[in-house]
Amino acid sequence: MPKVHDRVLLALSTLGLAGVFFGGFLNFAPNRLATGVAYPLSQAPSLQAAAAMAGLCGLALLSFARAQKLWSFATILAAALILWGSLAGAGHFAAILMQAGPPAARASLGPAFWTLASVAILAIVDAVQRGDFGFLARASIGAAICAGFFLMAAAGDFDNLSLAREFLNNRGVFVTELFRHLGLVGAAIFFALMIGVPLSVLVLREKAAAGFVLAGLGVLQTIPSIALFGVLIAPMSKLSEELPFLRSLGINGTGPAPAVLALTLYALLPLVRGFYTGFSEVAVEVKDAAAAIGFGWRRRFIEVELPLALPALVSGLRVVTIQAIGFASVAALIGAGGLGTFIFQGIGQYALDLVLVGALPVIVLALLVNLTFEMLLGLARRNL
Amino acid sequence: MIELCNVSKDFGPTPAVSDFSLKIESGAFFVLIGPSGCGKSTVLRMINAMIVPDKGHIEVRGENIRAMEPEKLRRGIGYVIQSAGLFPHWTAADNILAVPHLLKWSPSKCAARLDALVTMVGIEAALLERYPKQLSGGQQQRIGVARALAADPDIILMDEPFAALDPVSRVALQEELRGIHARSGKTIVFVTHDMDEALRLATGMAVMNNGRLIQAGTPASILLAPADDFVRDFLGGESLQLRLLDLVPVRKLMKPGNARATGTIAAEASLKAALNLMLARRCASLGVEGERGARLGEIHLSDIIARRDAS
Amino acid sequence: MPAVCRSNLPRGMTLSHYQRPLSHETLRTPTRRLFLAGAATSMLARARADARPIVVGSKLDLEGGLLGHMMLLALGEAKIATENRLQIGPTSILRAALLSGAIDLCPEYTGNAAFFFHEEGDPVWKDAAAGYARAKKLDYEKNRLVWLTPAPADNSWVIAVPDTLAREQNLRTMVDFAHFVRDGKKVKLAASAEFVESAAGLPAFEAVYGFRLAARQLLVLSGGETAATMKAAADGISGVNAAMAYATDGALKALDLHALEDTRRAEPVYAPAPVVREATLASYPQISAVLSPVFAQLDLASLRDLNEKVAVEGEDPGAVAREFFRAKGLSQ
Repeated sequence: MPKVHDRVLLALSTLGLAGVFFGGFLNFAPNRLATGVAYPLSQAPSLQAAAAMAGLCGLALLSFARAQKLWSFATILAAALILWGSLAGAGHFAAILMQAGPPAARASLGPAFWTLASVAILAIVDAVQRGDFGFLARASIGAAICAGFFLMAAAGDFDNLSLAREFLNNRGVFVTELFRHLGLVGAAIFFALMIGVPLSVLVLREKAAAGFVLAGLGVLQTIPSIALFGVLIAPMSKLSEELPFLRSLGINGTGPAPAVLALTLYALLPLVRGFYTGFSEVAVEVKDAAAAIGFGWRRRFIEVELPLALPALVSGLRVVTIQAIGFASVAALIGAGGLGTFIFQGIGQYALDLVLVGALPVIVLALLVNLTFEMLLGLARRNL
Repeated sequence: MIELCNVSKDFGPTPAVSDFSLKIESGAFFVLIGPSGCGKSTVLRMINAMIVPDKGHIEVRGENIRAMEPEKLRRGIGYVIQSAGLFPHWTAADNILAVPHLLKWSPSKCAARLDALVTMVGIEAALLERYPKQLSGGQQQRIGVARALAADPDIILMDEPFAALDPVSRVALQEELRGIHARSGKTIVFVTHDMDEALRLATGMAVMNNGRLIQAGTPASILLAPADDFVRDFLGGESLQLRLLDLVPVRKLMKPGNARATGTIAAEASLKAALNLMLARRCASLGVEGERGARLGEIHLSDIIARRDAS
Repeated sequence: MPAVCRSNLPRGMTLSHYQRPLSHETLRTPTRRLFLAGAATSMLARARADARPIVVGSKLDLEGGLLGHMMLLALGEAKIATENRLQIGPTSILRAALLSGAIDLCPEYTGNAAFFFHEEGDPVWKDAAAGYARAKKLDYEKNRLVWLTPAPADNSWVIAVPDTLAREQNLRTMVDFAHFVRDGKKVKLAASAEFVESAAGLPAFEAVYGFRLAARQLLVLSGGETAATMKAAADGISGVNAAMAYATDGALKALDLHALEDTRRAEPVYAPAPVVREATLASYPQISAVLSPVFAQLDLASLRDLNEKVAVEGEDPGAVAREFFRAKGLSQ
């Protein structure tokens, strides 16, 4: 029995195999609402299915190899084979099924596809992390994987998939809602910083206020999001009635204004806590030494406290941003739009692919933001 | 050089320092000593305006520090604290050159100064590009001392700088510091609660208790005539006489003579070291040697015991 | 003629005109048009002064999107500026938005007024005209909201069963269903908590048709989306063979479900109607005349068709609405 060197990889490939054998690869239904028939990977076009399976077997074999730079490349290659194989397989399989089916028929991605895609992505992420690649290498690996996807998408390989149908049906509003979503998040972060930074300064100056302020923000955090969104409608409407200038700015009880306010309120706690811990954990003797060798307060803040608190600040901001991206989905319920629109419409219509049109970009956004902040955090922690 | 006049400071209800007056002469290695919480660190921190006294005034180089810009004052006074307080995000070299950079010295001047400091404080050049967390406690404190010396200030304040170090590093750094003081003639104000350290380094001393100055003078004058029981106890009670021997070099009790001896000792070593060696060799006399090993004379146990006052 | 009547107003026109309960018929009379025309002239100056776009809202559901787009299109045809706030949220959010003035106009169902004014048990809501009149009266008196001409459709709660079961057991109406339940045949109904508990929901059906579903015969879904309940019945999930649905649900046909006819009228009528804030109507008195021909076209069959297009094809409700306008000759 050869020795297993990488348990993660072995677990991933086992998971992938289980998904392939027990889950349907593509689900074919006579219309958008009907429950269809599940087709396994074995019935998909053989070339792509074989590629995906070869990649999966490759991963399983690699889990018995010793981790080296070459090993990382091989793992990434095998995972890419799985990803591209299942993407292309699903697209072509859908095209074949759709040709034979009624016009309203739908081909949805099944559990086997999602398992394979997740296994591939996790294997790539794991290999990249272990491979200790530089920034450029990571970026080019990411770009290559994405390029494969976009090339297939541009060639129309996915057009017969239900997910793509939903996306294409909503193509016009998708970009609008995506930007609205980003706008909500951006505005919330902006206002959270506007309020959070002075609040952090207060909390740092008056340690007595710290407990009080953090507890208050903590209570805000526990209010269920939909309740907070709902609760804000009445006072915001009143305010816009009383102050015509607010109304002229488009601020009223529903729409983006209460959504941004709610998102801002949610963002405050992690932000202020991040700032508070960041600055209060800068060692007293370091601040003391800086003052004693003649640093003025401005220089002390910029050259000593800020860089030392930066990792905590960046972490706080990361939590805040990712949280806001998720919460902004709920804003669709109060007329603020955003990607949540697709999620809630999809839930209402029991159209899971429409839910995915909203949910997948939210996940991708969160991952991208996380990646960006990881990099920033790496820079901030460089010398600490 | 430094003069504190009737200085008082309260933190909350109990006074930290009350009615404290002291004059520290230029070139002194002045040690402030006392039990923890006696106010010695507060006195030190008032000298570079890190703490502003409630009452009284302080003059540095003949100038009232209240009239000076604190940043400017501090840039002219070196400062070393117990944990070194190095900036964790800067290399050792950047830490050392913090004040020269503040004062906007030219790069060539900085480089030259760095070279000089590395030799003066005994830092391996390889350590300069490391970050503080990659250095041992002793190495960090050497960097801390070098940082205090960097802009060549004539005054250096040190707040229990060696307290957290292992005994070997501590003694090594104490020797280094004594050498630096002897060569540079800087005024050093040094806070400690360790009497051995104080006696090894001080040219002048002040004993503090409960925020008050109890006694000031040379180490010998204090050891020989403790002002009260507190000072006596603090100086070590029963081992006071042994401590005194620490202050006197062998040279002072040396007699001419060239008899065979079981051991030799340097003329500048302390009587305590001579006594220690006699006890170790089980002998009553030692030969005394000069710097190059030249025989200068002899020292006898009876003379050490019969000694009256050697200061 | 009462003394309050002014001679220069048409007969029957008093200032309290809005407050009178009106039936469908009275609303379509020429007198009303005349009144509106007169009002339009007299309020012209004011209308110009505070003429801002009409903010149109709707519920998040599919029919909300459709009706909202119809209203936007109709107002657009009449060259009235609008702001799209469609699919704003669930009923409560939409209602709050309308009451607060965050939106000016939205579609609402007459049956929901029973819920807004806590009159769920009142039989008045089971009559289309009387229920509409009551909703109109209450909402104007309490909230200065004006209900305009409703559509001749009823999107009330229904119970739907799979077509196969309907054929085999000859289930056509709720009377048949009640027999089926009483005969002890296997029934499991998927429904929202609201439908099961509300006096206007399942209890109303049970009382009128004389049957009773035990707790084990119910699958209560907390979310309460009809899409989920219908899906459960269509797929027989957990033995479900009956589903709560809305009469105009577009998914009924796609999922091969048969909506059992409420022949004895157990449920309140849910006729969709435009509801507008009084101030908005004063600024744009023509809204009523603009919207009524559109809503007149929206009968049960049309609504089901339109809903089906969105639900089954996943088409954009705006596009479906535009197509409907073209087909019915509502657009120029």
